[in-house]
Amino acid sequence: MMWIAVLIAGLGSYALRAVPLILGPRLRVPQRTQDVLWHAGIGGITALLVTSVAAIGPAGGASNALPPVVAVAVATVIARRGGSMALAMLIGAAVFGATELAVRWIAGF
Amino acid sequence: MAPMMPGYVSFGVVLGAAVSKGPNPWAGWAGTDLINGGSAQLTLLEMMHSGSGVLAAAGAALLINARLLVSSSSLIPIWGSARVTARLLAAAAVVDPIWMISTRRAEQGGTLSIAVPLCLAAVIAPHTRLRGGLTAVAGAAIATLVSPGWPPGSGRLMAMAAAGFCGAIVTRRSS
Repeated sequence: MMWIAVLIAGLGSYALRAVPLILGPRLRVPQRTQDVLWHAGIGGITALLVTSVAAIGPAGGASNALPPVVAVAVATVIARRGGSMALAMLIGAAVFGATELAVRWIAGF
Repeated sequence: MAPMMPGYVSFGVVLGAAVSKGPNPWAGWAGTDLINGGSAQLTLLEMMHSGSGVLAAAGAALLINARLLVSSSSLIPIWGSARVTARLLAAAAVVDPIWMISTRRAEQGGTLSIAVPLCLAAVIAPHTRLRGGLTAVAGAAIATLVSPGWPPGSGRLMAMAAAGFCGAIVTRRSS
C-alpha cells in the first residue's frame, strides 16, 4: 500500500512541476485557483508544524509546551523579517534551550 | 543554498527516522526521490503510519505539493525558452528552496526534535507576508489544534482546506 501511495504522490508531484514548464504561457491557471493552491499547500505545512510542536512538549503540560512554542515564535519572526533559515534555526534553537533551562529552574522552586 | 542547509539536513535526518519506523522502509525511502518534497513526504508517511487510506495520504501529499504548480509557473520566464528535455529535467528540481533562490535571482537578478518545527517555521514565515498568508496559516493552525480526535489524516486535510479557503478570501478582498 505504501508503494502505491508513494507512486501516486510522486508521479502527481512531478506532473505538477512539469506541466507549467512544458506548456509555458499556454497554461492559464485562474488567479483564484492559484491563491487556493498556494495557501492550501502552506496550510499542510502549518499542520505539520503544529503537530511537530505538539509532539515535543505535551507530556508535562503547559510548561513543557512553552520552550518549543517560544522557539518557533522567535524563529518565525526572524524568518518573516527576511532572516535566513540558518539564522532562524540557530537563534530558535538557542531560545529553545534557554527557555527549557528557565522552565526547569522555575519548576525547581 | 548554504544558509538553508542546516535546516534541511536536520529535516532530512528526521525524515529518515520517520521512513525507518514504517512497515515498508524501501517505499518510504523511494518517496525521497519520487515525491521530492519533504513536507509532502512526511505528511504521507505520518498519515500512512496513523492508518489513513492510500488515496487520502497521497491526496494530502499532492495537495501540499499543489503549490508547485504555481511556483513552477513563475519559473516560466527563466525556463520557458529552454529545450523540452531541459525543462523536463528542470521540473524535477522545482523544490521550495530552489524556487525561492531562482525567483529572488530573477527579481534582483538545539536538539534534533526542535529542528523540524524551526525549519518548517522558516519555510512558512515568508508566506505570512503575502496577502491572506497570515490568515491562511492561522486558519490551518486552528483547524489542526481542534482536530486531534478526528479520524487519521482528516485534520490535516481540514487544515489545508481552511488555509486555502480563508487565505483565498482575504487575498481576494484585499486585492
